[in-house]
Amino acid sequence: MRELAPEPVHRFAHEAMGTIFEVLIAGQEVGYAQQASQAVFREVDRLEALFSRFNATSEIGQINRLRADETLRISLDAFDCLRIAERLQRETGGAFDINFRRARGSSERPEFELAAADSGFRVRLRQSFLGRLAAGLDLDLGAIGKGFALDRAASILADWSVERFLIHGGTSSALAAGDAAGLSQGENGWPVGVGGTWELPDVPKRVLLQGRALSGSGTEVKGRHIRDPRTGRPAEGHLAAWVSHPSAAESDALSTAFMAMSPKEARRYCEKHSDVWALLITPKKKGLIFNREILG
Amino acid sequence: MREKITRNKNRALSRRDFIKSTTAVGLGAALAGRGLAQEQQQEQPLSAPPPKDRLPAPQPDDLRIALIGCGEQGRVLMESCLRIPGIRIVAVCDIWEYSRQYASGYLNKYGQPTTVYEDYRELLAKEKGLDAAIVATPDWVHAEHTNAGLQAGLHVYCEKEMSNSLEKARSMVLAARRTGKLLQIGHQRRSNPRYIHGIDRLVRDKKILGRVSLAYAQWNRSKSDMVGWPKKYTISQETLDRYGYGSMLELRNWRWFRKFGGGPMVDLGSHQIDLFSWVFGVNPNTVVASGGVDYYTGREWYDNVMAIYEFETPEGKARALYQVQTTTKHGGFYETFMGDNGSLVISEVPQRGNWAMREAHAPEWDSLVKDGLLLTETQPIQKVDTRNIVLDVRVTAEAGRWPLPVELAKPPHQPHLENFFNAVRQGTPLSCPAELAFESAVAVLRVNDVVRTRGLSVFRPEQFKA
Repeated sequence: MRELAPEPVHRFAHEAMGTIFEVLIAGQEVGYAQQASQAVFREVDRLEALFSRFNATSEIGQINRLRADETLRISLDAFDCLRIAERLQRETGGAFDINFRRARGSSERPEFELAAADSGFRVRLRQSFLGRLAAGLDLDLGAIGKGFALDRAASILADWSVERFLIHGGTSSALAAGDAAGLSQGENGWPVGVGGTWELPDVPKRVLLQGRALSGSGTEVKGRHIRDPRTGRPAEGHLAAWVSHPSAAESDALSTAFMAMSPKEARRYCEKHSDVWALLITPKKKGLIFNREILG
Repeated sequence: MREKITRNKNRALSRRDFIKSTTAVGLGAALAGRGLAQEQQQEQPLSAPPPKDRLPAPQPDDLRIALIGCGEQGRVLMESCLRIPGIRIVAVCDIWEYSRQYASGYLNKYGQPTTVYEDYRELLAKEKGLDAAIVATPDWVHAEHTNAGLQAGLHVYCEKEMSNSLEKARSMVLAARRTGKLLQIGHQRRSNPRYIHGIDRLVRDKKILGRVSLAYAQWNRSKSDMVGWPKKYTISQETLDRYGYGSMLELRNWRWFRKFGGGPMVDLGSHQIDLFSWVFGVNPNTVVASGGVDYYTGREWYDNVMAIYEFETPEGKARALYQVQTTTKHGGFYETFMGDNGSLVISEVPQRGNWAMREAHAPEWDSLVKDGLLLTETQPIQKVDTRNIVLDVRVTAEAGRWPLPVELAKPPHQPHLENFFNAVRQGTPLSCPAELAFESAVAVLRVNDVVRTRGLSVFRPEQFKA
């Protein structure tokens, strides 16, 4: 019997948000897959123009120029992303914080508030409660924006009836749907590497991703670049963290937050949020996995 | 809760537009009267968001807008409209279901329920109480949609280029004149406070560049494939035929086809070539150009063009060089104006251009800095008179740039839409009325002819009049 040729997986790359985004598509003709990928990349570019903190005219750039008590009308996209960020900040007790540059564990840090009021979405810089001239915000969506863009990309691919794909933003967050027959024969999902270079017992080196995202955060690329927003100091602790969640925005943000959270805090978070899978590599090179059953 | 605003004050520029400026008073005066009303920033503290299912009540003084064409550009304009108080998009229209759904779904999330139409004729027939229409359809139907809107008694904001045919562009000017309705064309740099400051105030009023004899502008983009469409949103051939498109490929890539658009020269060049006449104060006398479809296959319009315009300005001869490239993004997009005393580099994206550069022999610009008309990055050379030396010799003093003090803290199309809405409400002047845009269309569309004939083309002054 003649063996069937493996089904092709089409792969397209695009530079955005300071890194390389890729789209991998199975089960579609190459030309169609390419057009769908282009639609994804246009969406990522559109979001980058809204989210870039280096561009004074972007929405984040404008928010960062708000003065105390000023309000800015913002797009639905920025509102949605800020709303997720605000909730995760609350849920992680401040370990995730898009305003981390202004966070020094001080009670005077500038705060923003969101409102979905009549005719639009708005963000306002709160007046400092001490009545002094409040410092401006310095919001940075670097630890959530790429994931958010992947979630939006997935809905574009749904419009295009692309059901089997893996997309990633600079490898730090990946979101997959359906399966990649050619890459994972007989398995459900897209095989991705996890756990870094540490060879730890009981820690998988590979997981299958389907209908959810996986994000990694660690010290190996940029050194110890993650600060604990709660103290303003470099996050003491883990060598790396991976988080999986159905939403790439959430996995992206949580992988950063978990770098700053103690194992106890991480465990408590995962007990409360049963859809969060997490792997921490502690300073003593111990691998801790929470909600292990989610990724089998 | 409704936003507390004073919409009808025709303030020049808000404080936010002048964050860097120390003495903005003179500027405000200079720019007043251009109808740049701004949203008041002081608001009541926000209360908790209303329940999602409660829609805000429309206000009697809201402007009711129809959006005709919800593609890429239509969405940009829709986004900007959503940031302007008192503007409600009540009807959207597009021949493509995918675009219609996107726009109406998006507006719905803003609590703006819309009626959705495939055919603009049905929209105009059924929608009552509209104030204005925004037309963002392909160039070849701009005239049809705009003229019908004007005829129906609406003021119209129509995207540039007015048309890919000069005859149709002329019909738009005439329709606006006949109906007495406003027609603003989307050359949005005309309302951009950075451009107004740079061109009107610095180059034309203050003449900081001296005699300006050269302009250069470019818009370079990376190569790109033809765009596709989600297969479940393929329009039936019958419907495509009804609206004049041979295929989905044509509809999605209309800018590359002669029937529907004017090619990159018109799509991109029209924004920038419009500035040449603004700076020089006259329309061009002649143009030479070279270009071709040299890279892509299956596209009708030139993928690269270079054009040189000649102007007879009150101060003498001036030339403007323009290029558009679609296979390299080298240098991106910006405009430069060069005079014997200095030059101005400006771009819609401020990082690419928002500064002047001074020739060493030019009259000093320090007083401009003092007056808040320019900023400076140049460190003054220290005059030393206490140490018995004339100069402290050290590392080279760098001649720096002189950034413009004006910022635009909003999307670039928003001021142009605000200018239009202010004109509708208060009768303030449009930044780019149809007559002015027609002059620009004459200059821009001619280039495509010259590329074909490989000659020199002479403009007669009367040709710029519709």
